[in-house]
Amino acid sequence: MRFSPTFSALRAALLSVALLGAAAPPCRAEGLEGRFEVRSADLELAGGVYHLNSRIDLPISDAVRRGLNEGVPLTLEVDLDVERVRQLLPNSRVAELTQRYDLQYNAVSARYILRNENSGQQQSLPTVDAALEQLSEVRSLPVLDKALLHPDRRYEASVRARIDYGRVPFTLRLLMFWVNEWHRESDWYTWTLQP
Amino acid sequence: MDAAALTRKYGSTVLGSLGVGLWLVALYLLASAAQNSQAFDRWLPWILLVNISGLLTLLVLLAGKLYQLVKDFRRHVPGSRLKGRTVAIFSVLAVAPILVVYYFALQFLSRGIDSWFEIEVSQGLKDTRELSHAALEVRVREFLQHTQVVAHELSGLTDFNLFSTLERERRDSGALEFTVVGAPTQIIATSSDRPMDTLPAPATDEMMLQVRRGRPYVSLDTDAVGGYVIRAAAPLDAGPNAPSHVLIALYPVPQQLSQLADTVQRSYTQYANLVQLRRPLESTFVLILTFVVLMSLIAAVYGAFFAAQRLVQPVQDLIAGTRAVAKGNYDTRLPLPSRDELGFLVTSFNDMTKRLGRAREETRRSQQAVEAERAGLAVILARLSTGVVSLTPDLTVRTANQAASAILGIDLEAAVGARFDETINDGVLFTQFLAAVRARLEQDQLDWREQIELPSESGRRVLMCACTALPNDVGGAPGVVLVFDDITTLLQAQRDAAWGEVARRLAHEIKNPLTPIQLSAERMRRKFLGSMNSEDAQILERATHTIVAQVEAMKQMVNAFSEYARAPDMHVARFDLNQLITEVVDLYRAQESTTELVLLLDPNLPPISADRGRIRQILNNLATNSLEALEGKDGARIEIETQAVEDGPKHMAAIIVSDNGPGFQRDLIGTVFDPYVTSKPKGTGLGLAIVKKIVEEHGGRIEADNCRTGGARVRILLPLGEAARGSAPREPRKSEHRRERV
Repeated sequence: MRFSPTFSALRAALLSVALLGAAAPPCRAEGLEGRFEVRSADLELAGGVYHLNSRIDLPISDAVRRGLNEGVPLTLEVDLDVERVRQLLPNSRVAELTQRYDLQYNAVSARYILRNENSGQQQSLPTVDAALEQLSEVRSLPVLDKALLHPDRRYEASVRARIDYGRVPFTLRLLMFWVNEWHRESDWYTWTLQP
Repeated sequence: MDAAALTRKYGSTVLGSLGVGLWLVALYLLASAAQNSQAFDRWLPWILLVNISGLLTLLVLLAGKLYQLVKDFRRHVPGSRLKGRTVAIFSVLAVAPILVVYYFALQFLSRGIDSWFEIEVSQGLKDTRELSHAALEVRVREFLQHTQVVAHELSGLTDFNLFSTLERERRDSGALEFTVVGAPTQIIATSSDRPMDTLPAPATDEMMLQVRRGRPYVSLDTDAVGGYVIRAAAPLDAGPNAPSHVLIALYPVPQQLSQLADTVQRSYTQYANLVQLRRPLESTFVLILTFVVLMSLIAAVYGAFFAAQRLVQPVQDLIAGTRAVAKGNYDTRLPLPSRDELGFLVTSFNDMTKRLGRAREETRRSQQAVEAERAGLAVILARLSTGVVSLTPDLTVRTANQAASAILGIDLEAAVGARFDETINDGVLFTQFLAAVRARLEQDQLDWREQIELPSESGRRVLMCACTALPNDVGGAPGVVLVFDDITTLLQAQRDAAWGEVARRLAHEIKNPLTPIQLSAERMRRKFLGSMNSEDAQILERATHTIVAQVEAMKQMVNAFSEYARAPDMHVARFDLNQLITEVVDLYRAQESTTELVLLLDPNLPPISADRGRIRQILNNLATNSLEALEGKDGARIEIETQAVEDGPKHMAAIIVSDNGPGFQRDLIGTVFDPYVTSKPKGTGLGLAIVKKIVEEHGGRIEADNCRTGGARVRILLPLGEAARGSAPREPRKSEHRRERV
C-alpha cells in the first residue's frame, strides 16, 4: 500500500503531534516482523574449549527479504553471558562475548556476503535464504576455556540475540523510538552449565 | 548602582536571553542532527533535553498566562477583556502565517525527499550495477574457461607433476591461487601468490555440489582483505589417480575495476539504506518541523501575551488609578510607560491627581481652620450664660449651647438637626418660648428684641430674647439665631434691692416718729382723761387707745421690715438638719392638736453647715404659713421631708414643706417671695420673703408651687459640702443695717 507524498507528510505531521502528546500509534511494518528468539543454545566441550551452538529464529518478513536484495544490510549480534551461580550473593560473571555478523547483498557480484565481524571471515552465498539460514545458526563458536570453570561450581549460560535492519542513524532511532522495525532484541535464553 | 542591584535588574533578562539562545542553538542542532547523525550522536540526548525543556518551559509559561487571563476575565479585572482581545488578535496574526508556512514546508519537505528517490536515480543505479556486472561478467567467463583448460591439463598428472604444472599455470595465467582439492577440506596441491599466512580458499558446499554435478563454478566475490576476486572451480578429468579432484582458482580483478565496483556497491547500498529510511527520515523531518513550528506557535502566543501586557498595562494602570482617585486617593502616581500617546495620557493623569491632591490639601486646611473656629466658638458658646440657638429657615436646630438648654429646661443640644417646632414637644417653658418665637417668625420678623415672660409651676421666668437673621450663602430664606438671657434673677435682685430700700426708708422715716406719737397720745390721755366728762373721756380713751394700738401695729410692721432689711449676722456651724426639724416640729406638735405633722426625714442626710438659728426661723416661718393656711380645715396635714439631692455638680440638702391646704393662688406663684405678697388677711407678706432671703444668704435656692393633689409646697435646697455664704461679702449691708438700727 502506497501513499501520496502529501498524505504521508500530513500523516507524519499528525504522528508528530501525537508523539508530542505521547500517544503515537505504530506505523505500518516495513522492517523486522515476527518472532525473534533464541530457539536453542548449548555449549559443547571440544579440545578443552567450550563451543557455542545456537539456533535463532529471525524476524524476517518479505519486506526484509526485498530490502536485503536491494542492498539494505542486516546485522546480528549474539551475546553470550556465563555466570557463576552463588547462593546468597549475586551471580558473578565469568565470561561474556558478543559475536557480530553482518549480512549484505553485493549488487556487483549478485551474492550475499555474510561477514563475521569478530574474525573478519566472510562467506559468499548465492541466495537470501542460504544467507539467512547461515545467519540463523551459530556453529562451534569457541567461546570459553574449560580451565576458567571450576568443576564443583554451578554456572549459568545465557544467550541473547540483537538484530538491526539497515543503518538507521541514532538520531532517527532516538526521535522515532516507538518504531521497532529496525532493531529488535530477543529474550535471554538461559541454561545451567555443569563443567 | 551596586552589583546586587544590577543582578536584580538585569539578572532575569540575561538568564532569559541565555536560555532562549541555548534553545535556538539546540533547535538548530536538532535539525542538523537529523541529516548528520554521527556528528551529533554524543550530544543528541542533551540537544533533545534542551529542546524539550524549552518546550515545557514555554508551555508552563503559556499555561500560567492563560490561567491568569481567564481568572482576571472571570473576576472582571479592569483591562482583562482588552487584554484578551489583544492576545487573540496578536495570536491570530502570529499563528496564521506560521501555519501557512508550516503547510507549505510540509509540501516542500515531502516533495523534496521524494525527489531524492526519483525513478531516474533508482534506475540509474540499477543500470550502473548491471553495467558493472556485465563488465565483470566477460572477465569471469574468460577466467572460467581458462580454469577449465588448466583443469584439463592437470588431469592425469602425478602429484609431483601436478604441483609443478599448477605453479607454472598459475604464473602464466596471473591467478592469485590455484588449489586442487579432493574433498572440501582435503587440499591435494596449491599454488598461491598471496601472503604466506593466507590459507587457501576453501571449497564451499555450493561450489562442490555444482562441480560434482558436472557444471563449472564461477563467482565474483569480495575478498576478505578488500577488493574483488573471481573464484572459479572446474573438475579434473576423472582418472585412476584423481577420480574426483577439483581445481579451484582465484583470479584477481584489476584494482581500477575493483574500486569502481566498490563505488557502485557503496552507492547501491547507501541508496538502498536511504530508500529504507525514506519514510522514517521524512517523518523525522516532519517531526522536527512540527516541533519547531509548535514551539514557534507557543512562543508566538506567549509573545502575544507579552505584547498585549505591554500595551494593556498602561491602560490597566490608568483604570486602577482612576478608581483610586474615585476613592479619594489623590496620591496615586502611575509609572510612565513610554513617551508615546499613552505616556502623554499617563503624564496628564499624574498632573491631574497632583492638582487634585493639592486642592484637597488646601480644602483640608480650610476645613481645619473652620473646625478650629467652630470649636472655639463652641467653647465660647458653651461657657456663655446666655442661651444661643440658631435655626434654619424651616426651624431646624443648627446649634444650641448648654445655657440655652439650661434656661429652657430641655436638652436642646440633643435636638440639633431636628425641627425646632415639631420634634421638641416637652417642657412648659420651651413651649411658651416657642410660641412667642414662632409668632414673630411667622410674621417674617427676623430681627427683633423682646422680653418674654414665661409663667410656670415653679414661678415666672423672664427671658430677654434677641433674634437676628443669619446670612445665607446659597440664597433663599435666611436662618435666624436666637440669643436669650434668663433675667428672672436679675429682676428679682432688682426687686429685692428696691424692697430693701423701702424697708430701710420705712425703718428710718416711719419708725422714729411713732414713739413720739405714742407718747403724745398717752400724755394726752393722762392729762385730759380726768378732767373730762365721762362721755368725752370715753371718746378720748378710745382715741388714744386706737392711736397707741395702731402705733404699736406700725412698730411691729416696721420691725418686720427691719428684720427683712437686716444684714445677716450669721453663725455658721455644722449640725444635723433632721434633728433641728424634729425639735421645731415637736414644739408645734405640743401647741397644735388638730393638724397632723408628718416627718419624712432622710436618715442618710449628712450634717449641713449653716446658721442654726436662721434655719430654725425658716422652719418656723414655713410652719406658721402652713398652719395659718390650714386653719379650720379638717384633716389638716403638714409634711416636712428632707433629702440629699444632686443639683448639677453640687450636693444639696432638700427641705420640702407641703400641706393639704388651698395652696398658692396661681397668679401669685411668681411673686410669693416678694414682700407684701400674701393671700392672708392678717399677713404682712414678709414671711416667705424672709425665708427666701435666708436661703439665698446660705447659697441655696427656694421654689414654691402647688402639689398635684392640692396644697402648697415649698422646696428649699441648701448646700451640703460647703459652708454657707460667709459674712464678709455682706459686710456693706451689715453696716447699712447697723446704721438703720441707729
